[in-house]
Formats: sequence, structure tokens, C-alpha cells
Amino acid sequence: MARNCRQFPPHMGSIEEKGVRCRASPIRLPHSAIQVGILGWSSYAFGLEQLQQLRTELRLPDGQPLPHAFVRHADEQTLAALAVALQLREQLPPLPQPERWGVLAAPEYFGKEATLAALQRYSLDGPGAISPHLIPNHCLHSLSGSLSVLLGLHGPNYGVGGGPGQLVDLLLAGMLETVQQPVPGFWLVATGWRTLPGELGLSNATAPVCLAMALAVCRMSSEEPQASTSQLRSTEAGSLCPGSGEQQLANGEEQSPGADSPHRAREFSGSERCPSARLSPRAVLRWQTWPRILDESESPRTPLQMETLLRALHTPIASVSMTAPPAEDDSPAAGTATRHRPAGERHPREFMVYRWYLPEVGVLELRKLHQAEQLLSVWREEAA
Amino acid sequence: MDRAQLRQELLELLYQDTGQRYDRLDDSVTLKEGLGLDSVDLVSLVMQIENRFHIRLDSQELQRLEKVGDLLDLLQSKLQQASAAQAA
Repeated sequence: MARNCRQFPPHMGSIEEKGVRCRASPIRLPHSAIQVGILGWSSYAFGLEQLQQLRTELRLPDGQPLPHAFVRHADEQTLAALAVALQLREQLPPLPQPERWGVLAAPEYFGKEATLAALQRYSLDGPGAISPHLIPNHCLHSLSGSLSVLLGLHGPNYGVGGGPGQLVDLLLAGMLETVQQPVPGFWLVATGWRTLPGELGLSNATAPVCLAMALAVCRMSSEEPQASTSQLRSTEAGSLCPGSGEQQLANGEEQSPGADSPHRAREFSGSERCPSARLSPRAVLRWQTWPRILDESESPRTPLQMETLLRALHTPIASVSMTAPPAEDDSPAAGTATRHRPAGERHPREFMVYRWYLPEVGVLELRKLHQAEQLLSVWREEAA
Repeated sequence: MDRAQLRQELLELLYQDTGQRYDRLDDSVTLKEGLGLDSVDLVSLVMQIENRFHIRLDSQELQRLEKVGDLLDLLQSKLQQASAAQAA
């Protein structure tokens, strides 16, 4: 039976292959957790008029307008994703080997309007009435594919999610790919409608907006064995935060001997770098499997949505009251922020921790560094 | 339908499909480089042509198309065949 089992993340449950029903094994993580650095983020909520303007006003990095075929056939979510990705690209410092980056995209109900219209045409006029542009422009993977072509990215690209909760799929897939793929980093893009345009007449609700966010993530230096030596030197020079790792260990994490050990120091610090990008991350995203997998009954948590993550990214650290570091067996409420000051007096670097407890997945943790106070984009509160 | 009318129809179909208005459509203009059509655009254009003129273009015929003149030649011959078959 075992040889017919594939390894899947625990939330995938059991799978059936070659007629044998088996329980999928939990995925094997490189350490006790996976962490990636977030170099920057960008987000915006586009109204319908703004989306139409994007078709004509958006310019590619080389200053050229968008290709006519793309302008005519692209889904609104693709335009919104492209806009925030371009915005983030402008705000980031020059990335080494930018063409080698990959892109993962998680749209929400992507191509719903176009598919509905195509189905109606199909029922009336048959297959000849369906445009061949439907698949390349309105399927789940077309958003990432379009971004990859337009931004000149040669790394892997595919779409994940597709419905509510697509952000968790995006983050988990993006973290795994970033750690495992031989690329400098990944663009993670999520989009979604808040009130679908087609439902406007029915619900008489507020005007629909297309929410889009883009993250640039890269591997942390601690994920690469060759980075250990330089990391240790940094620790000795005092540029890291010795002691912070001990306070910030999540529940159930394996203890390592000594708070100042290189392993401990590599857990998290403000001066870690994304080695392939040679840049300091503004935040660290960490996924840790829980010792015992939570289920819905014991962890009735609100789902992690784009608004939640964006609020965490855009909330100034100074606005959050200082709290004591959580104890080893303490379980802070999901989605709450805690502000920490590492114990070392020479290193008064503050950072903010958000934790989300995801049923059958584990704990997703966002650690935002103090430097992240530079807001990278406009975040419209009314869109939340 | 003469060649000038076919050229005008083709201009209109191109506008509907790509959203781009071409000023002139010489026979020597290539479909891919000259008009900037990719493979999906070509398939879409062919589907529109088939629906508009009620003809069928098979894949072997499409593979020989490189320039606007080739497409107009093919359309003319197909339309003549269709009208001859209708008359018979």
C-alpha cells in the first residue's frame, strides 16, 4: 500500500491511486518549519472605472503599452494583478536575475463572467461560438502565465486556489516553491472581487472592487547551508538579535541548546538576508506544522483572507501595544498581533508577530520587522 | 465578392478580434510579424472567417498561410467553390 501513496500536505487528506485507498503522509518539511522572506508587498482595490483605465494606461517596465490582444481579452483580475506587480517592481530595489523569478497567482472566481457568457453562447450557437481566447485568458493558470510573459519571468508559473481561502493555498504553495525551486524568488499574487460585478444588479450593493495584492518572496539565508558561516559572523558582530529566537519559538517547536547558538539566531532576526536576492526582507513568513493537527471543532478560527493579511502588513508596528512574549505553551488568539522587543539591550529591534492557526495545516506566522514601516502602497480601508 | 470587398471584410474582422484598426492591408503584409497575430489570434480569426463566410478552412490550408495575400487567395478560391457547389 505504501508504494501507492504519494506524499501530500496533511490537509489534502487521503488519496486514491491505482484503486488502493490510503492515508496521505504528512509532507516532509526541511526543518521544523518553512520560512521565507518577504522583500516587499503591494496592494490596491480597483474600481470598475479604474480597471478600464488600466487597459489603456498601464505600461510595461520598458514603457511600452500593453499588447492589443492582451488588452482586449484580459480578465479584470489579470489587469489588477499586473498593476500591483508593476507597482511592487518599481518600489523594490533592482533584483539580481529578475528574469529567473517565478510567479504564483491565486485569483478568486477567475473568469466567472467570461465563462458564463461563453456557456450561454455555446448553448445557442455551439462550439464554434466559443473564442479560443477563453482558455488562455480566463482559466486558473492564465493570470500567472500572463504575468510571466509580460514581466519577462522565466521561472515556474501556475495558478493555485481559485475560490475562497485561496490565499492560504497561495502562501503555502509559494513558500514550498520558494524553498525548493532553484530560482531567486517568487512573485505571489492574489486577487479577488468584493461584490462581483454581475451581482451588482441583484444585490444592489456597493460598487464592486477588485482587490489585488502582490508579494515578492525569496529564500532566507538560513535555508541554505552555505549561508551558515556568514550568518554566524553576523551574529558575532552583533547585527542579529540574540535571544529573540528563544522568545519567539512557536508552541511545540524543538528547542535547541542555547539562545545564542547559530541555529537559534538563524530562527529569526532583522538582518537576515535573502541570499539569492542580496536583499533584506521586510517581513518573514513562517509555516510550522502543528504537533497535533487541529480540526475545525477545536479551532473555530476565521479564515485567513487577503484583507487580514493586508491589515497585518500595513498596520504600523507603533500602533500595537507592547506585550510580553508568549510562553511556550501559550496559544495567542488567531490573527492577533503581538509586538516584541528582543531581550538583548544592544539590539532594540522591534518586530510584530501575527499568527494564524489553520485547521489541518498548522500555524502560519508573519513576523514584520520594524523597517516595514515604509508603506509600499495605498491601502484603501473602505475595500476591507 | 471581389478582392477589395474581401480585404475590407478582413479589416473589419481583424478589428473585431484584436481591437486594432489597421489602415491598410497589403498582400505583402505577413500575418504574424506584420499584423502581430499570435497563434491564438489566428485561430480566432479563422473561426470568425468561417462563421462570416460559411466556409471551412482545414489545417493543411492554414499552415500555408503566411501573408495577407495568401489568406485572400484562399478565401477567394473557397468562396468560388462554395458558389459553384451552390449553383450545381
